[in-house]
Amino acid sequence: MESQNNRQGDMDGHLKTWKPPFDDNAFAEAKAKVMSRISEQEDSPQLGGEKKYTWLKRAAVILVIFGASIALYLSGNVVLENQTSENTRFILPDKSEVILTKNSKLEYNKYQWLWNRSIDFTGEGYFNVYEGNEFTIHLPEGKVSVLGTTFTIWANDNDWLVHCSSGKVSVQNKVDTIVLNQFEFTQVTNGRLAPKMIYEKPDFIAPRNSTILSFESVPVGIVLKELEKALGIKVKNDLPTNLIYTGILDISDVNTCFEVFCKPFGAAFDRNTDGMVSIYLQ
Amino acid sequence: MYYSNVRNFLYYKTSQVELSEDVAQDAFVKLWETRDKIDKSSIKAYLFTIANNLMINKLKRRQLKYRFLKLQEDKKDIETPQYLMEMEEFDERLQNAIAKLPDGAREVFLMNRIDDLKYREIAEMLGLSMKAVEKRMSRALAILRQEIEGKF
Repeated sequence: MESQNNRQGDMDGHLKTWKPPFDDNAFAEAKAKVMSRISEQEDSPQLGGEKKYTWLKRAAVILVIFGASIALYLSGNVVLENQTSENTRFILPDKSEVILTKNSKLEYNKYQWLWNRSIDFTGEGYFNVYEGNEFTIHLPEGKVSVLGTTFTIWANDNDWLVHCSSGKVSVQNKVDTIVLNQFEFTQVTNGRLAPKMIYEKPDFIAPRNSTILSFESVPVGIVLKELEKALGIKVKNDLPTNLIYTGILDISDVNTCFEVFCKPFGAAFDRNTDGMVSIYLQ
Repeated sequence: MYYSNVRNFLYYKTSQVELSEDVAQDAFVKLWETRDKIDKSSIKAYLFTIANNLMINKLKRRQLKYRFLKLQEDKKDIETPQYLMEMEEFDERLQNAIAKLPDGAREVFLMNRIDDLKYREIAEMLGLSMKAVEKRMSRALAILRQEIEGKF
Protein backbone atom coordinates (compact mmCIF):
# COMPACT_ATOMS: atom_id res chain seq x y z
CA MET A 1 0.00 0.00 0.00
CA GLU A 2 1.41 3.35 -0.98
CA SER A 3 1.87 6.19 1.41
CA GLN A 4 -0.03 9.43 1.26
CA ASN A 5 3.05 11.35 0.24
CA ASN A 6 3.72 9.08 -2.65
CA ARG A 7 0.18 9.43 -3.92
CA GLN A 8 0.39 13.17 -3.68
CA GLY A 9 3.74 13.05 -5.44
CA ASP A 10 2.06 11.23 -8.31
CA MET A 11 -0.67 13.81 -8.37
CA ASP A 12 1.69 16.77 -8.47
CA GLY A 13 3.75 15.04 -11.09
CA HIS A 14 0.70 14.72 -13.26
CA LEU A 15 -0.55 18.21 -12.62
CA LYS A 16 2.78 19.61 -13.75
CA THR A 17 2.14 18.21 -17.19
CA TRP A 18 -1.33 19.65 -17.68
CA LYS A 19 -2.45 22.77 -19.45
CA PRO A 20 -5.96 24.16 -20.11
CA PRO A 21 -7.28 23.39 -23.62
CA PHE A 22 -6.69 26.79 -25.19
CA ASP A 23 -4.87 27.35 -28.43
CA ASP A 24 -1.76 29.52 -28.04
CA ASN A 25 -2.45 31.12 -31.42
CA ALA A 26 -5.87 32.21 -30.25
CA PHE A 27 -4.24 34.63 -27.85
CA ALA A 28 -3.48 37.29 -30.48
CA GLU A 29 -6.96 36.82 -31.91
CA ALA A 30 -8.57 37.30 -28.53
CA LYS A 31 -6.67 40.55 -28.04
CA ALA A 32 -7.63 41.73 -31.50
CA LYS A 33 -11.29 41.02 -30.75
CA VAL A 34 -11.19 43.01 -27.55
CA MET A 35 -9.40 45.88 -29.30
CA SER A 36 -11.97 45.82 -32.03
CA ARG A 37 -14.91 45.93 -29.63
CA ILE A 38 -13.37 48.77 -27.69
CA SER A 39 -12.67 50.72 -30.89
CA GLU A 40 -16.28 50.39 -32.01
CA GLN A 41 -17.41 51.89 -28.76
CA GLU A 42 -14.93 54.72 -28.98
CA ASP A 43 -16.02 55.62 -32.49
CA SER A 44 -19.78 55.46 -32.33
CA PRO A 45 -21.09 57.71 -29.57
CA GLN A 46 -19.16 60.85 -30.30
CA LEU A 47 -16.42 61.41 -32.80
CA GLY A 48 -12.79 62.03 -32.22
CA GLY A 49 -13.08 64.89 -29.81
CA GLU A 50 -9.98 66.97 -30.01
CA LYS A 51 -7.63 64.08 -30.43
CA LYS A 52 -6.81 62.44 -33.70
CA TYR A 53 -7.63 58.77 -33.63
CA THR A 54 -4.27 57.12 -33.04
CA TRP A 55 -3.63 53.43 -32.97
CA LEU A 56 -0.50 53.40 -30.93
CA LYS A 57 -1.87 55.32 -27.99
CA ARG A 58 -4.93 53.12 -27.67
CA ALA A 59 -3.05 49.90 -28.22
CA ALA A 60 -0.48 50.79 -25.59
CA VAL A 61 -3.05 51.53 -22.91
CA ILE A 62 -5.08 48.40 -23.46
CA LEU A 63 -2.10 46.13 -23.78
CA VAL A 64 -0.72 47.22 -20.46
CA ILE A 65 -3.83 45.53 -19.13
CA PHE A 66 -3.25 42.43 -21.20
CA GLY A 67 0.18 42.49 -19.65
CA ALA A 68 2.32 41.24 -22.47
CA SER A 69 3.11 41.13 -26.12
CA ILE A 70 2.67 44.81 -26.75
CA ALA A 71 5.42 44.25 -29.27
CA LEU A 72 3.40 41.51 -30.94
CA TYR A 73 0.33 43.67 -31.33
CA LEU A 74 2.19 46.76 -32.44
CA SER A 75 4.11 44.67 -34.90
CA GLY A 76 0.75 44.35 -36.63
CA ASN A 77 0.79 48.06 -37.39
CA VAL A 78 1.14 48.68 -41.12
CA VAL A 79 1.95 52.03 -42.70
CA LEU A 80 1.52 52.50 -46.42
CA GLU A 81 3.15 55.66 -47.65
CA ASN A 82 3.82 56.83 -51.14
CA GLN A 83 7.30 58.28 -51.17
CA THR A 84 7.57 58.39 -54.93
CA SER A 85 6.46 61.26 -57.10
CA GLU A 86 3.95 59.15 -59.01
CA ASN A 87 0.50 58.12 -57.91
CA THR A 88 0.94 54.61 -56.57
CA ARG A 89 -1.50 51.77 -56.13
CA PHE A 90 -1.45 49.64 -52.99
CA ILE A 91 -3.48 46.56 -52.22
CA LEU A 92 -4.90 45.97 -48.76
CA PRO A 93 -5.26 42.54 -47.13
CA ASP A 94 -8.95 42.37 -48.01
CA LYS A 95 -8.25 43.00 -51.71
CA SER A 96 -9.35 46.62 -51.50
CA GLU A 97 -7.17 48.92 -53.56
CA VAL A 98 -6.01 52.40 -52.85
CA ILE A 99 -4.15 54.88 -55.03
CA LEU A 100 -2.07 57.29 -53.01
CA THR A 101 -0.59 60.53 -54.32
CA LYS A 102 2.87 61.69 -53.38
CA ASN A 103 3.43 61.87 -49.59
CA SER A 104 -0.01 60.51 -48.78
CA LYS A 105 -0.17 57.80 -46.22
CA LEU A 106 -2.44 55.37 -44.50
CA GLU A 107 -2.11 53.23 -41.39
CA TYR A 108 -3.92 50.14 -40.14
CA ASN A 109 -3.39 47.19 -37.81
CA LYS A 110 -3.34 43.84 -39.54
CA TYR A 111 -4.67 41.91 -36.55
CA GLN A 112 -7.61 44.21 -36.16
CA TRP A 113 -8.23 44.14 -39.91
CA LEU A 114 -9.82 40.70 -39.63
CA TRP A 115 -12.77 42.10 -37.69
CA ASN A 116 -12.78 45.75 -38.47
CA ARG A 117 -11.45 47.39 -41.63
CA SER A 118 -10.26 50.62 -40.16
CA ILE A 119 -7.51 52.96 -41.33
CA ASP A 120 -6.05 56.37 -40.56
CA PHE A 121 -5.46 58.49 -43.63
CA THR A 122 -3.85 61.76 -44.70
CA GLY A 123 -3.26 63.11 -48.18
CA GLU A 124 -5.14 62.39 -51.37
CA GLY A 125 -6.28 58.93 -52.28
CA TYR A 126 -8.69 56.97 -54.35
CA PHE A 127 -10.26 53.96 -52.70
CA ASN A 128 -11.75 50.94 -54.36
CA VAL A 129 -13.25 49.04 -51.49
CA TYR A 130 -13.85 45.32 -51.77
CA GLU A 131 -17.20 44.15 -50.48
CA GLY A 132 -17.21 43.02 -46.89
CA ASN A 133 -17.47 44.43 -43.39
CA GLU A 134 -17.80 48.13 -42.94
CA PHE A 135 -14.66 49.87 -44.12
CA THR A 136 -13.81 53.01 -42.19
CA ILE A 137 -11.30 55.74 -42.94
CA HIS A 138 -10.40 58.04 -40.10
CA LEU A 139 -9.60 61.62 -41.00
CA PRO A 140 -8.76 64.60 -38.83
CA GLU A 141 -11.99 65.23 -36.95
CA GLY A 142 -14.14 62.89 -38.98
CA LYS A 143 -14.60 59.63 -40.75
CA VAL A 144 -15.78 58.05 -43.97
CA SER A 145 -17.41 54.63 -44.04
CA VAL A 146 -18.37 52.45 -46.94
CA LEU A 147 -19.42 48.90 -47.65
CA GLY A 148 -18.07 48.33 -51.13
CA THR A 149 -17.54 51.26 -53.35
CA THR A 150 -15.10 53.70 -54.98
CA PHE A 151 -14.39 57.24 -53.89
CA THR A 152 -11.83 60.05 -53.72
CA ILE A 153 -10.65 61.72 -50.56
CA TRP A 154 -8.54 64.84 -50.13
CA ALA A 155 -7.56 65.11 -46.46
CA ASN A 156 -4.60 67.20 -45.46
CA ASP A 157 -6.07 69.19 -42.64
CA ASN A 158 -9.45 70.03 -41.18
CA ASP A 159 -10.94 71.09 -44.53
CA TRP A 160 -11.27 67.82 -46.34
CA LEU A 161 -13.23 66.64 -49.36
CA VAL A 162 -14.89 63.35 -50.28
CA HIS A 163 -16.26 62.45 -53.73
CA CYS A 164 -18.17 59.22 -54.39
CA SER A 165 -17.55 57.66 -57.79
CA SER A 166 -19.68 54.56 -57.28
CA GLY A 167 -21.79 52.95 -54.58
CA LYS A 168 -22.51 54.85 -51.37
CA VAL A 169 -20.26 56.60 -48.92
CA SER A 170 -21.12 57.82 -45.44
CA VAL A 171 -19.22 60.91 -44.34
CA GLN A 172 -19.21 62.11 -40.75
CA ASN A 173 -17.62 64.86 -38.81
CA LYS A 174 -18.22 66.03 -35.26
CA VAL A 175 -21.48 67.68 -36.17
CA ASP A 176 -22.88 66.35 -39.44
CA THR A 177 -23.43 63.09 -41.27
CA ILE A 178 -24.02 62.90 -45.01
CA VAL A 179 -24.53 59.89 -47.25
CA LEU A 180 -23.12 60.40 -50.75
CA ASN A 181 -24.44 58.56 -53.78
CA GLN A 182 -22.64 58.20 -57.08
CA PHE A 183 -21.04 61.46 -58.32
CA GLU A 184 -21.97 63.37 -55.19
CA PHE A 185 -19.37 65.10 -53.08
CA THR A 186 -19.07 67.16 -49.94
CA GLN A 187 -16.37 69.10 -48.18
CA VAL A 188 -15.74 70.50 -44.75
CA THR A 189 -15.89 74.28 -44.45
CA ASN A 190 -15.84 76.03 -41.07
CA GLY A 191 -16.33 72.72 -39.33
CA ARG A 192 -19.57 71.86 -41.16
CA LEU A 193 -20.15 69.42 -44.01
CA ALA A 194 -21.37 71.27 -47.09
CA PRO A 195 -24.67 70.12 -48.62
CA LYS A 196 -24.15 67.57 -51.36
CA MET A 197 -22.87 68.75 -54.71
CA ILE A 198 -22.48 66.89 -57.98
CA TYR A 199 -19.49 66.25 -60.18
CA GLU A 200 -19.86 63.46 -62.71
CA LYS A 201 -16.35 62.06 -62.64
CA PRO A 202 -16.37 58.27 -62.43
CA ASP A 203 -12.85 57.82 -61.12
CA PHE A 204 -10.01 59.35 -59.15
CA ILE A 205 -9.97 63.13 -58.80
CA ALA A 206 -6.23 63.43 -58.59
CA PRO A 207 -4.23 66.61 -57.96
CA ARG A 208 -2.22 67.45 -61.06
CA ASN A 209 1.39 68.44 -61.33
CA SER A 210 1.49 70.86 -64.22
CA THR A 211 1.60 74.65 -64.19
CA ILE A 212 -1.33 74.85 -66.59
CA LEU A 213 -4.51 73.36 -65.18
CA SER A 214 -7.56 72.98 -67.37
CA PHE A 215 -11.05 72.51 -66.03
CA GLU A 216 -14.18 71.45 -67.84
CA SER A 217 -17.44 71.89 -65.95
CA VAL A 218 -15.82 71.32 -62.61
CA PRO A 219 -17.56 72.50 -59.44
CA VAL A 220 -15.87 75.52 -57.95
CA GLY A 221 -15.18 73.76 -54.64
CA ILE A 222 -13.03 71.20 -56.39
CA VAL A 223 -11.25 73.76 -58.55
CA LEU A 224 -10.27 75.73 -55.47
CA LYS A 225 -9.09 72.61 -53.66
CA GLU A 226 -6.80 71.85 -56.55
CA LEU A 227 -5.50 75.42 -56.59
CA GLU A 228 -4.85 75.21 -52.85
CA LYS A 229 -2.78 72.11 -53.35
CA ALA A 230 -0.92 73.38 -56.40
CA LEU A 231 -0.13 76.80 -54.94
CA GLY A 232 0.35 75.69 -51.34
CA ILE A 233 -1.99 78.35 -49.94
CA LYS A 234 -5.39 78.35 -48.23
CA VAL A 235 -8.38 79.73 -50.07
CA LYS A 236 -11.48 81.11 -48.39
CA ASN A 237 -14.42 80.95 -50.72
CA ASP A 238 -17.63 82.95 -50.45
CA LEU A 239 -18.96 81.93 -53.85
CA PRO A 240 -21.79 79.43 -53.89
CA THR A 241 -20.08 76.07 -54.18
CA ASN A 242 -22.51 74.65 -56.72
CA LEU A 243 -21.10 76.96 -59.40
CA ILE A 244 -19.28 75.28 -62.27
CA TYR A 245 -16.02 76.43 -63.80
CA THR A 246 -14.65 75.81 -67.27
CA GLY A 247 -11.33 77.32 -68.18
CA ILE A 248 -7.57 77.11 -68.15
CA LEU A 249 -5.55 78.46 -65.24
CA ASP A 250 -1.84 79.18 -65.14
CA ILE A 251 -0.61 78.73 -61.60
CA SER A 252 2.83 80.23 -62.11
CA ASP A 253 1.51 83.57 -60.84
CA VAL A 254 -1.02 83.54 -58.01
CA ASN A 255 -2.57 86.92 -58.70
CA THR A 256 -3.09 86.33 -62.42
CA CYS A 257 -4.47 82.90 -61.68
CA PHE A 258 -7.19 84.22 -59.39
CA GLU A 259 -7.97 87.20 -61.60
CA VAL A 260 -8.70 84.82 -64.46
CA PHE A 261 -10.68 82.49 -62.20
CA CYS A 262 -12.87 85.19 -60.68
CA LYS A 263 -13.77 86.88 -63.98
CA PRO A 264 -16.63 84.64 -65.20
CA PHE A 265 -18.38 84.97 -61.84
CA GLY A 266 -17.96 88.70 -61.45
CA ALA A 267 -16.04 87.96 -58.29
CA ALA A 268 -12.91 89.49 -56.75
CA PHE A 269 -10.27 88.37 -54.32
CA ASP A 270 -8.02 89.66 -51.55
CA ARG A 271 -4.81 88.33 -50.16
CA ASN A 272 -4.03 88.30 -46.44
CA THR A 273 -0.59 88.94 -45.03
CA ASP A 274 -0.17 85.20 -44.50
CA GLY A 275 -0.88 84.54 -48.16
CA MET A 276 -4.45 83.30 -47.79
CA VAL A 277 -6.75 84.19 -50.67
CA SER A 278 -10.35 85.28 -50.01
CA ILE A 279 -12.79 85.18 -52.88
CA TYR A 280 -16.03 87.16 -52.71
CA LEU A 281 -18.81 88.35 -54.97
CA GLN A 282 -18.70 92.00 -55.89
CA MET B 1 -0.10 37.81 -18.67
CA TYR B 2 -3.44 38.83 -17.22
CA TYR B 3 -5.61 37.65 -20.08
CA SER B 4 -4.65 33.99 -19.84
CA ASN B 5 -4.91 34.08 -16.04
CA VAL B 6 -8.45 35.40 -16.24
CA ARG B 7 -9.46 33.04 -19.01
CA ASN B 8 -7.99 30.04 -17.20
CA PHE B 9 -9.65 31.04 -13.93
CA LEU B 10 -12.99 31.00 -15.75
CA TYR B 11 -12.17 27.61 -17.25
CA TYR B 12 -11.34 26.21 -13.83
CA LYS B 13 -14.62 27.59 -12.62
CA THR B 14 -16.77 26.17 -15.40
CA SER B 15 -14.80 23.69 -17.58
CA GLN B 16 -16.37 25.47 -20.58
CA VAL B 17 -13.80 26.40 -23.25
CA GLU B 18 -15.69 28.85 -25.46
CA LEU B 19 -17.61 30.41 -22.63
CA SER B 20 -14.36 31.11 -20.80
CA GLU B 21 -12.85 32.86 -23.81
CA ASP B 22 -16.00 34.90 -24.42
CA VAL B 23 -16.47 36.00 -20.84
CA ALA B 24 -12.75 36.76 -20.45
CA GLN B 25 -13.01 39.09 -23.43
CA ASP B 26 -16.24 40.60 -22.06
CA ALA B 27 -14.41 41.31 -18.81
CA PHE B 28 -11.65 43.24 -20.58
CA VAL B 29 -14.16 45.26 -22.55
CA LYS B 30 -16.07 46.00 -19.35
CA LEU B 31 -12.82 46.97 -17.65
CA TRP B 32 -12.14 49.47 -20.42
CA GLU B 33 -15.66 50.86 -20.15
CA THR B 34 -15.34 51.50 -16.45
CA ARG B 35 -11.65 52.39 -16.41
CA ASP B 36 -12.19 55.85 -14.97
CA LYS B 37 -13.90 54.49 -11.89
CA ILE B 38 -11.26 52.06 -10.71
CA ASP B 39 -8.27 52.38 -8.49
CA LYS B 40 -5.21 51.60 -10.62
CA SER B 41 -3.54 49.66 -7.83
CA SER B 42 -6.24 47.01 -7.79
CA ILE B 43 -6.82 46.50 -11.50
CA LYS B 44 -6.10 42.77 -11.23
CA ALA B 45 -8.63 42.16 -8.47
CA TYR B 46 -11.15 44.34 -10.26
CA LEU B 47 -10.71 42.41 -13.48
CA PHE B 48 -11.24 39.08 -11.76
CA THR B 49 -14.31 40.37 -9.96
CA ILE B 50 -15.83 41.52 -13.25
CA ALA B 51 -15.03 38.18 -14.87
CA ASN B 52 -16.46 36.24 -11.95
CA ASN B 53 -19.66 38.26 -11.87
CA LEU B 54 -20.18 38.09 -15.62
CA MET B 55 -19.74 34.34 -15.46
CA ILE B 56 -22.13 33.87 -12.58
CA ASN B 57 -24.79 35.67 -14.59
CA LYS B 58 -24.21 33.47 -17.63
CA LEU B 59 -23.80 30.14 -15.98
CA LYS B 60 -26.47 27.58 -15.46
CA ARG B 61 -25.51 24.91 -12.97
CA ARG B 62 -23.86 22.30 -15.13
CA GLN B 63 -21.68 19.37 -14.44
CA LEU B 64 -17.98 20.08 -14.72
CA LYS B 65 -16.03 18.10 -17.29
CA TYR B 66 -12.43 19.14 -17.75
CA ARG B 67 -10.29 18.40 -20.79
CA PHE B 68 -6.79 19.29 -19.83
CA LEU B 69 -4.12 18.91 -22.48
CA LYS B 70 -0.74 17.37 -21.89
CA LEU B 71 2.38 19.39 -22.42
CA GLN B 72 4.99 17.77 -24.58
CA GLU B 73 6.70 14.84 -22.92
CA ASP B 74 9.90 13.65 -24.54
CA LYS B 75 9.95 10.38 -22.67
CA LYS B 76 6.96 9.10 -24.63
CA ASP B 77 8.79 6.75 -26.92
CA ILE B 78 10.58 4.83 -24.20
CA GLU B 79 7.49 4.04 -22.13
CA THR B 80 5.48 0.88 -22.62
CA PRO B 81 1.90 1.12 -23.88
CA GLN B 82 0.86 -0.32 -20.52
CA TYR B 83 2.52 2.54 -18.67
CA LEU B 84 1.05 5.17 -20.96
CA MET B 85 -2.41 3.74 -20.49
CA GLU B 86 -2.05 3.80 -16.73
CA MET B 87 -0.89 7.42 -16.91
CA GLU B 88 -3.94 8.34 -18.97
CA GLU B 89 -6.25 6.58 -16.56
CA PHE B 90 -4.74 8.44 -13.65
CA ASP B 91 -5.14 11.73 -15.49
CA GLU B 92 -8.77 10.89 -16.10
CA ARG B 93 -9.39 10.03 -12.45
CA LEU B 94 -7.60 13.15 -11.30
CA GLN B 95 -9.65 15.36 -13.61
CA ASN B 96 -12.85 13.83 -12.30
CA ALA B 97 -11.71 14.27 -8.73
CA ILE B 98 -10.88 17.92 -9.37
CA ALA B 99 -14.34 18.43 -10.84
CA LYS B 100 -15.73 17.39 -7.49
CA LEU B 101 -13.86 20.05 -5.54
CA PRO B 102 -16.09 22.78 -4.15
CA ASP B 103 -16.27 26.19 -5.83
CA GLY B 104 -13.62 28.46 -4.49
CA ALA B 105 -11.21 25.71 -3.51
CA ARG B 106 -11.11 24.30 -7.03
CA GLU B 107 -10.12 27.49 -8.85
CA VAL B 108 -7.47 28.34 -6.27
CA PHE B 109 -6.00 24.85 -6.47
CA LEU B 110 -5.76 24.88 -10.26
CA MET B 111 -4.39 28.42 -10.44
CA ASN B 112 -1.63 27.31 -8.09
CA ARG B 113 -0.87 23.93 -9.60
CA ILE B 114 -1.37 24.59 -13.32
CA ASP B 115 -0.82 28.33 -13.80
CA ASP B 116 1.99 28.26 -11.22
CA LEU B 117 0.63 31.31 -9.43
CA LYS B 118 1.90 31.88 -5.91
CA TYR B 119 -0.53 32.08 -3.00
CA ARG B 120 0.19 35.79 -2.72
CA GLU B 121 -0.69 36.38 -6.37
CA ILE B 122 -3.89 34.36 -6.11
CA ALA B 123 -4.86 36.27 -2.97
CA GLU B 124 -4.40 39.56 -4.82
CA MET B 125 -6.34 38.48 -7.87
CA LEU B 126 -9.29 36.99 -6.05
CA GLY B 127 -9.41 39.56 -3.30
CA LEU B 128 -8.72 37.01 -0.56
CA SER B 129 -6.44 36.98 2.45
CA MET B 130 -3.39 34.70 2.43
CA LYS B 131 -5.01 32.66 5.15
CA ALA B 132 -8.13 32.17 3.06
CA VAL B 133 -6.04 30.96 0.13
CA GLU B 134 -4.15 28.52 2.36
CA LYS B 135 -7.39 27.19 3.79
CA ARG B 136 -8.85 26.58 0.35
CA MET B 137 -5.67 24.84 -0.78
CA SER B 138 -5.61 22.46 2.18
CA ARG B 139 -9.28 21.73 1.69
CA ALA B 140 -8.65 20.89 -1.97
CA LEU B 141 -5.68 18.66 -1.16
CA ALA B 142 -7.56 16.85 1.60
CA ILE B 143 -10.52 16.11 -0.66
CA LEU B 144 -8.32 15.03 -3.56
CA ARG B 145 -6.31 12.71 -1.37
CA GLN B 146 -9.53 11.10 -0.25
CA GLU B 147 -10.89 10.83 -3.79
CA ILE B 148 -7.73 9.35 -5.26
CA GLU B 149 -6.89 7.05 -2.37
CA GLY B 150 -10.44 5.95 -1.89
CA LYS B 151 -10.16 4.14 -5.23
CA PHE B 152 -7.47 1.85 -4.01
